[in-house]
Amino acid sequence: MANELAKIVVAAGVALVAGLVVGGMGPRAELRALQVRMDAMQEVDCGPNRLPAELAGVLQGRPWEDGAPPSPRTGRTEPEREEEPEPVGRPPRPSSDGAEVVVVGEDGRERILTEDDREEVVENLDMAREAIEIRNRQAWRALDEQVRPTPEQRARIETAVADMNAELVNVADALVQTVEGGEPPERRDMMVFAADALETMIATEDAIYNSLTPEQRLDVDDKVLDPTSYVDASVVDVLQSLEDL
Amino acid sequence: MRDVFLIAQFELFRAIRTWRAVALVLLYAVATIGAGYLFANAIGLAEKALAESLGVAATEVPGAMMDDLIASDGFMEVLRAMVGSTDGAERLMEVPLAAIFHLWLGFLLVPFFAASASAESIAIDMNNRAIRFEALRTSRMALVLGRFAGQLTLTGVASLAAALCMWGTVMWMMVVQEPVALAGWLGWYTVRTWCFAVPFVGFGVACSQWTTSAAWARVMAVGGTAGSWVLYGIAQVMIEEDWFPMVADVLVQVLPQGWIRGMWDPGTGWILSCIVCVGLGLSSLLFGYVRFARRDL
Repeated sequence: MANELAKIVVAAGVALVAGLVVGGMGPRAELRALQVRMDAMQEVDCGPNRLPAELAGVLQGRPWEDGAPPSPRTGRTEPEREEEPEPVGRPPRPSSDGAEVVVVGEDGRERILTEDDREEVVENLDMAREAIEIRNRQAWRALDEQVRPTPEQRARIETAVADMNAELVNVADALVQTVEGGEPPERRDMMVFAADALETMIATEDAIYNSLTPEQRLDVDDKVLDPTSYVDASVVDVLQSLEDL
Repeated sequence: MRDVFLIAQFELFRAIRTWRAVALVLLYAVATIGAGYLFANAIGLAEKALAESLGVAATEVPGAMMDDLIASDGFMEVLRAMVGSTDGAERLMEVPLAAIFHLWLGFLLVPFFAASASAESIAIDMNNRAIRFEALRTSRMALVLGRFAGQLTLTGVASLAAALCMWGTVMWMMVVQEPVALAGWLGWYTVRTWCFAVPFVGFGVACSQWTTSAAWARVMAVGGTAGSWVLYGIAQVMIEEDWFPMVADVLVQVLPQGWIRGMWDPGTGWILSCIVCVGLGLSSLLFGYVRFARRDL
């Protein structure tokens, strides 16, 4: 009886494997054929296809809105008068509504800020924000690990860092307001902004250093005292408003 | 099935009495602690590199920047290479990294340990002819199944010990945010590791039925396990290059490694892979039983 039951168990296992092998052949062959078709479709170069653009135009409802309406008799659009071409070499000027912004490119030539440029700026700011957040988190972890501050020490350092961040936000705000005024910040303005920011950070480093005991100062890595590591992302948030200008 | 249960129990007690169980658990423990140590150090180095690139102070104890590491593109690449698909890798983002590493390590190590340990289960008794006394009181098939079940239990206990060692090593060497969640995932993944070991335990017991020399049986089992990985690699190349696709399909279906992708499934998809592995284990037993059934004990 035990032998019979044991044989049934083993036979069930073998039947399962055999069933999988035989039953899996068809679907796997089908999958392979589909994979080949998919690979072939991916290799085809679609090239410039006007259909989606034309379809999008039709779906706009009244695609001639921006231009002249179609002629009632022929259905053709009246030809637009060609605008006078801009003289070569003349730098683009900001339009009256301020939508176009002139920037100096890497080659030193001025050009209009495109939508792609704006997206790149947003992307870079997002990356900067993420990097600042990681630095901030890591700086606190390193401080806790290396210094093991008492609750009082940590509270003092937190206050100093919060003050620094508030001051840096103020400096960034001032910078944004200057740019909003329409004039690019002058050399002296930039030096004042930099001086304000440096003064704040030096005061914060001193505050962190003075919060530690002599023994803690001996053990701590110099980077833990670096106030720039504790800058939080709110400064980037303020600067991000420059992108909207 | 009472005979099978009794033989399995005897196999387990014998392993404890002869210190084989202790040796096996120690083997799993040493391998896991070593791997856990290397894992923690690798994470520490990656964190130091990240801190260096950000120009911020690094932490001495690894694990503090784990969340930031996981969010990086480089980590995603590593996970994709381990799991075998982008979709699978994305679904594992919530699982503790140490648990993922443990399962991956289990897929690599446990087959060898399981096959090697179970290879002597029958051969050693055939060599000293003690098995004839057991064969008098029960059927040969029940005997084989009992030894198989005993070895499976042994592998399960050793796998559980390995999970405990991994948890201990990680807790000792790293900053762990959620120790209970890590323990839960390690335990949950141990079930999958154990299921993946079933075909290899079956293969070890099968090798044990082919020869009376325990040493030869072990060589066959370990060699066969290594060979299964080679065959799996060949099958993958055959699929990619479209060489004999039908043969490649059969190979992928009958090799346990072909079901690893399902084992990574965070949902219930891994259960099917486990059932198939059990089927493959029982089929492996039959490969040995063909010889054992005709043996003069």
